[in-house]
Amino acid sequence: MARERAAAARAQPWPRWLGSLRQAVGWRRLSLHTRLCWAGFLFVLPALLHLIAFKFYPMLEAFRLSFYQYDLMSPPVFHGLENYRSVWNNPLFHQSFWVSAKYMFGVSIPEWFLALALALLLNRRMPGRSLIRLAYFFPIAMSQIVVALVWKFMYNPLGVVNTLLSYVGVGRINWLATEETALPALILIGIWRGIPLFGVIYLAGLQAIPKEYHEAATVDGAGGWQSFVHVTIPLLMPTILFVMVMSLLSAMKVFLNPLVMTEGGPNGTTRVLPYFIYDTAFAYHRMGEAAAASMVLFAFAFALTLIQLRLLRRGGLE
Amino acid sequence: MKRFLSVCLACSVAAVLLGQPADAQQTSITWWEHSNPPHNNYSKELVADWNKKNPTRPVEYEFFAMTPYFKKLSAALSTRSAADMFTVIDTLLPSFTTKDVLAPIRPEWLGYKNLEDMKKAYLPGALEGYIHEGKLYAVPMIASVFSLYLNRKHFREAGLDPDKDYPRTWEDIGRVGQKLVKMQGSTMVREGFDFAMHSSAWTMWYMEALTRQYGGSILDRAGRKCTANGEAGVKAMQVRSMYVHKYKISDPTVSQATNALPADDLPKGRVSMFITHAGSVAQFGPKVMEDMKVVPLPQVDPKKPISVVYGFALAVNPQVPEAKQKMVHDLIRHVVRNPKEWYEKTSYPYPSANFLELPGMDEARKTRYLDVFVGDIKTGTYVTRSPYFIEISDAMHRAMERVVLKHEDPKASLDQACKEIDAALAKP
Repeated sequence: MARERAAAARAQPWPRWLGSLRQAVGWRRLSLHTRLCWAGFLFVLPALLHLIAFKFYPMLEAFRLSFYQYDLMSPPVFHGLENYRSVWNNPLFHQSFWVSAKYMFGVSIPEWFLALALALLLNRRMPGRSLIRLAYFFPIAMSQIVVALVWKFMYNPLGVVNTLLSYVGVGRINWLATEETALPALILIGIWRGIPLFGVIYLAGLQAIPKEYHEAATVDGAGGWQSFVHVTIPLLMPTILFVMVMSLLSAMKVFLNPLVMTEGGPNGTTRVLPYFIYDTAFAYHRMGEAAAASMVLFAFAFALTLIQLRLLRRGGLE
Repeated sequence: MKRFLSVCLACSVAAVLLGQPADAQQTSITWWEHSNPPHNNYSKELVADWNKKNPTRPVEYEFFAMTPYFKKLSAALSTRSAADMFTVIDTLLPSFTTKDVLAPIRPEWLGYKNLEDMKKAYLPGALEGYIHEGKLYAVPMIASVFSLYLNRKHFREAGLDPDKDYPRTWEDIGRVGQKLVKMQGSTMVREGFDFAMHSSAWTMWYMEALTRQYGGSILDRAGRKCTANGEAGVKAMQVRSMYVHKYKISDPTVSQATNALPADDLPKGRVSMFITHAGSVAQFGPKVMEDMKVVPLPQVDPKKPISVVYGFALAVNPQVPEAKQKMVHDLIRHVVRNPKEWYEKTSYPYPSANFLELPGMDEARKTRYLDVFVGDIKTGTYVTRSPYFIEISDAMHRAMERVVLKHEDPKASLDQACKEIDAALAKP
């Protein structure tokens, strides 16, 4: 019985309805190459549909909405380029743009170096290396909202940060309610959370470098630093550029920490562009303006990515 | 094939016919509210009671943190996914009513002859904050004000009599506060007095009260131009910042208050005087309240008291069918049926006309400062009515932060706020 069933499956390895479909599209008449292309496409199709429905369609819809006046509750009215003009004339938008830029570079640049330093450290042989790697990766595994709340308590005027600083004679600081300290406080959290992730990516890149290159450099008389500069860095360059792109993009999209910890204050000093967009849409009910601002954010991210891809190409690394 | 189709059709018709009475028997009502622990606990009790009495019309109750709640509500109303009944704050009424996203309340479904008849059952002016173009859009369940809470223990420690020496004016607060403030070297460890800094809505309530007491307003009569940078507004902002800069009895680095518990510094003893709402009595609990005293909101001129009231009210989703809207009205009647119980559980005065005369209220008048709250309600009116309220309050909040935290000139800071507000008001 089982043998018969197996034989039947060999003869027709797909359900009957699929057989009819194959006949209808003339599958047998297609060349092997075309069939393989179609099979590949069919495998990718579910993911593609997901992307279209949940990424591209909302993006197109946001683009369309950026030309409409829409308050969420009344029907949208065509508004031409008025939303873009309004956003451009809004000083809060400019402030948010610069806050975002400061946050983005404030988080990313230290991440590039500190994550690399961490990866180099973890790439060495040392006792309990796996455990240390796990400990460093822990912040990534934590829920972002939990991280934000824990840091909020730590930054409290009577919290851990001020208590520790008081031992070295630093007076009490209200980190999240002072203009000079609120953004740096958020940047510090961004760096703390980003280092392990990018450290692991660097670590993978470092481990992919064949040992023979370093051995050859040592034989040729290169010291540790020379080997790092002339062997490790050039071979790690694709990873470095990947980390640069990813860290900038993820810092540009930060939203939850300002929302939970500062609500964009004090005086807008932590109101990053995504938070500005959120407020404009859902607090002020100006969906069209919010869509226009998100298009500007998209254009900025797109331009930044293009520049980095150009850098990749110039370095022959693509 | 024909037989198969006939069977399918027969099954569908049967399902529809059998399904209809089942739906009619079980129609749930959804109710959303903002978060406020004593209030939410009482609402849950009311829901449990309703569900017991109305098993075929059960209520599904949910509550959310206040600021995200109102954003969620706006988005839900736009996508037709809002609850059947929801709580609204009076300040947001204009932005909802101008967009027709609330169903008018039918006084006759609540047991009144008409709106005029309903008004008689409430404190004078209590319904005004919820009326737009002659129609009522929400039924108030909370009327609240901001009054001054003080820590009696701290007063006695400082050699002050809380019953006699409590502040009547804003300048009094500065003078009394200087006796209450506690320093350790150059670090303030206890504030004499503090204004809440956590939210733009609170900033707006404080600033409205102060500006009105100085004879000004945030917007002009038509609501189309910012007037907060006038003489009254500047004086109000000077008061708002003088406890930090002039009297040095307030320090923003001492406060640990959060959005959920804005008055938390007071029961924790980190501040001696604080202005908060009536609901704080229930939030603090009877043990903490033994050490507290509540007095009327300080004034510029105590002979002409002026305060600001605010409230929460129950609104009906216009997107639900009329039969269900009637059901929601029944639920509203159930929720607001017992003002005395409402007050006992939440500490928020209920704005009914006979509220103070209800049996058993004498005790509350003495021990829970009900007289103080109702007194402040009587001298109060609702805050600025504008569909742009959130933008206005955000601009005022930023102005306050610039003055208090950066020591910026009040006039310059308010000029900037007015520029931002006028830009918002000019938008369609």
